[in-house]
Amino acid sequence: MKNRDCLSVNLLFKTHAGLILSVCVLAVLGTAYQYSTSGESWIGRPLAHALRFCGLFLLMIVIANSSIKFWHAWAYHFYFIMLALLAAVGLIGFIGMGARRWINLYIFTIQPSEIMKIVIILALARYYSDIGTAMSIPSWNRLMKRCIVPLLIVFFPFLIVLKQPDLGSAVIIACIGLFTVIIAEKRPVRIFLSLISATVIALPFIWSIMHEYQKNRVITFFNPEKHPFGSGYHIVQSKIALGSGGFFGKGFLMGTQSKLSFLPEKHTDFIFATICEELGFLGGIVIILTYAFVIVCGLKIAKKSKSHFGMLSAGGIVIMFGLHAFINIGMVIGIIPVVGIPLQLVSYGGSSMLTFMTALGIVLCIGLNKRTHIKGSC
Amino acid sequence: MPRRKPSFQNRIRTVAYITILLFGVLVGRLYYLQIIQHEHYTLLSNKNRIRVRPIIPGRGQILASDGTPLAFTKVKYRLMGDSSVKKNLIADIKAFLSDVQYRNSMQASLLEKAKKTSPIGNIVIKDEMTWDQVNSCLCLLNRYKSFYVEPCYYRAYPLKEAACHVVGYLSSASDSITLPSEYKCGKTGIEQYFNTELSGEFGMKKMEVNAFNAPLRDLCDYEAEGGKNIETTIDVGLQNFVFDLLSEYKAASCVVMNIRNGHILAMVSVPGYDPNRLTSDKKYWRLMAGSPVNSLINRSIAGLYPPGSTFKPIVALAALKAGVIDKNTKFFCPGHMQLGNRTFHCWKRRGHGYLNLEQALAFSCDVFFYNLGLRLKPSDITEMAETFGIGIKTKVNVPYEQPGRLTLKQGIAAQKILTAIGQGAIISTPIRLCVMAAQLANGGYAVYPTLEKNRTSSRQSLGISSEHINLVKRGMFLVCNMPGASAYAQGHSIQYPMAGKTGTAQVVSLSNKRGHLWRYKDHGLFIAYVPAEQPEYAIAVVVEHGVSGASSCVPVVRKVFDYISRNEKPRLPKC
Repeated sequence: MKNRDCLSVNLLFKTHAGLILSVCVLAVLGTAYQYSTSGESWIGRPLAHALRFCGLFLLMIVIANSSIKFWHAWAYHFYFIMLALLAAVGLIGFIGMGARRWINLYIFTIQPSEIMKIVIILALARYYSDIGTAMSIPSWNRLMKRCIVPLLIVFFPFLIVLKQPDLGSAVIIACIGLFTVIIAEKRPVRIFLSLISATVIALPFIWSIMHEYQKNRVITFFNPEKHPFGSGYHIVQSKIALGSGGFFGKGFLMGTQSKLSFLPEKHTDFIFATICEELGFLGGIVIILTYAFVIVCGLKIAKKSKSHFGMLSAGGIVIMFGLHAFINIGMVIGIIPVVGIPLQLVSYGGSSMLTFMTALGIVLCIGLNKRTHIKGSC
Repeated sequence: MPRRKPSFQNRIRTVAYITILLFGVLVGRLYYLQIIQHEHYTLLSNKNRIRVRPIIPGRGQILASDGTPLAFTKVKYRLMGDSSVKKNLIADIKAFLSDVQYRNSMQASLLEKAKKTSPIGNIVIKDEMTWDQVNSCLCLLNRYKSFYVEPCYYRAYPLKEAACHVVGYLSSASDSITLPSEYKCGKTGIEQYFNTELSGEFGMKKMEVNAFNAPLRDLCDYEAEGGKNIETTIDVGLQNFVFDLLSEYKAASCVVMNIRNGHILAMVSVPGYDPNRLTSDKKYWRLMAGSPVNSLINRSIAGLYPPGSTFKPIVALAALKAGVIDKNTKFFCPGHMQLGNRTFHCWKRRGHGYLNLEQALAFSCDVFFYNLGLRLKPSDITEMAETFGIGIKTKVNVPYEQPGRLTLKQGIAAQKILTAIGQGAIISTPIRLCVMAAQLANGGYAVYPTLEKNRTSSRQSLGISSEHINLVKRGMFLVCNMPGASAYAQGHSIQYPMAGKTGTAQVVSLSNKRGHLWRYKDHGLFIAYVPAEQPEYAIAVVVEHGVSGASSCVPVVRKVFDYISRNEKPRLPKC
């Protein structure tokens, strides 16, 4: 047993070195920028970030060496546990920054909505691998099975998270769910179209239950310069930070926008602007390419997996990874409304890192178990 | 099963393409922001972090002719509270208030202010402290860490009311948005006229600030260059003396000038104001601005009066030049003159009898000058008046000077007659009358009045026959030295004989005396120069509603010349 473990770790580093290295690059960059934004001191955020990464890196290796069957078997259980936790957050969670998102586990606090993202993917993957490709069912039932049930799996967590209120996570949960459904389905385009129309119908409903500040963000997105010191302040300052960086940047630790506190959330959601101010266009490209590389590696793993569950899980997780990076960077450079989403592995924050290290662990696990067949699939 | 696999892989490929597309969008946008728009955002970034603060230069002094300051900048100190750490400041203020007795209302407002300020808006704890008070405060500074002492600058005017109009005062440059609010600029008088020289050059301090506008470090400094001192011609003693003399009147003004170089030794306007209080004391400002006799107006240069009989020498010169009269021409004064159905009275109802020009000037006979006015063309009078500058600004170094006016119309005999005695179509300022006296005194040479000590003017003839002017000067000498003449009572037997011309300008007509209200009384005027033979000093005095020039102004002039002869003996040749 021990021998096998050692072998798989070796195998892991041999076959997925690129992905693991990319993750380390992002974490190192993150630590460097926690150092830069915390007044050039290692105590506090940079140390915490580095230690967290080390701990969670081990977790990732452990998960990578676990059995894919375990995740398949426990997918639904996890789903309902997390759903219960999400509901519990609404009741007993404590409030931070105006929203009830965190739950106190006495050792540390976590955001169940973050972990929910993985769990939804696993649950959907399990669902689709379970129902297989039976085509002979009457159409109403087929619709029920193929569309309504998966949508409900996504819808409940989405609603709870939206009411927390956490618009960013809710949107991400919805998107992850929808994209997973799309890659799972046979005629994706048709379903995609039906989902789009469903979204359009739901828009007025979503708008009506959105909070005032959420509405403001959407309005601000379309015209940020109108209120440079109000709700548009974030994006205006972020663009100044990026633009003033130029090609080579102002140099490490030399950024004025972040150092002089003009840039808000400089170590969390807007860390990309901080980095691009100091390291310039070059630094920005490196980050974007690193994320793209992780995505490509993940997609390769999904493609090679023999089991339907593995394919869908890996695909869904990669989509989640890409979506996060895209939304965060897009928000920082002003092409997407401001939603509170951190840049995973680089931004400061435990829940986000826990989620993504777990998710990448599962992807690596699928990569190692690509030949494993799971009962009921394929 | 074999069919589904490729289709799933196709979907994965689609996902990859979409990823490339979306990340391509990110890169494109990043390129746009960081490469194409780089300069624009660099500018914005610098605008964010760099603050330029002007350094206000020290203002120059205004000095009297002997070097005594008429206006200077005084340093006072104030106790300030540093509000960068607000909690500390509030605690310090509370402790300070319990230690030091303060009025209750002040306590509340101080705390209120401390709570409201921004991290850079430091607050004043105690204003206007002398150095001794600062010393007693030094021990406080150790106890209250957020307090500090800061110098602040006040403009002081030691002559107060006596020289207020000529020196002027300072106030915030309210009309300029580019200048800092602490910068004060001259609002009138020399302070305004020489504002550029007195102000000096602004310095500049470039600082890096953070998002809370708190300065972090200096980027560069450009030192301010202090303003120059302005040396004026004002004689402090004389200015004070004249002001004291005029203070007994409700409204009056006086200009004393050195004839040789146009230097103004004293320029007084009554009532005055205290420039030390004017801008700092709102109540006082309202009182002054709303005073019925217009305290803020500099009457010496902006007060317009009909010159009355002081204009007669000009009319005499015009008549001599036009050949209407000569030295010996006599007119009979019966006490009045009939023109059409109107009677024009002489000031002496009984009449002067037969008079020549010298006598007419000496007794200030109106009928004699009615006759001249009747015989002269309007252009004769206006040309001569213009030669002496009536209706033109003297361009003395004080702002807001009024030019005065002389507009004679063709063919209105009554207007000509009245103008010949300095009423009707003519008004002038005291400084213009003084210059007129000086130009008569020096035998018809141009005099340019100035307050600048280092300015000299060239000697330039006005083109008047010296014979004529000597005749008029003889008449003006008689005014003060012939028994029975208008200024004889006060003007004779002075150490240096003086020459001059009294004037009384009617405010309402004789037939329309409405009681003896102050505001309906005649204005008194007197122009004079001394010594009569080799004139050195010229003076013009106007006392508003002073009844007559002889009674109100001549005593003033007499005392002024006495003062000058007492104090400037070496410069006056003995007669």
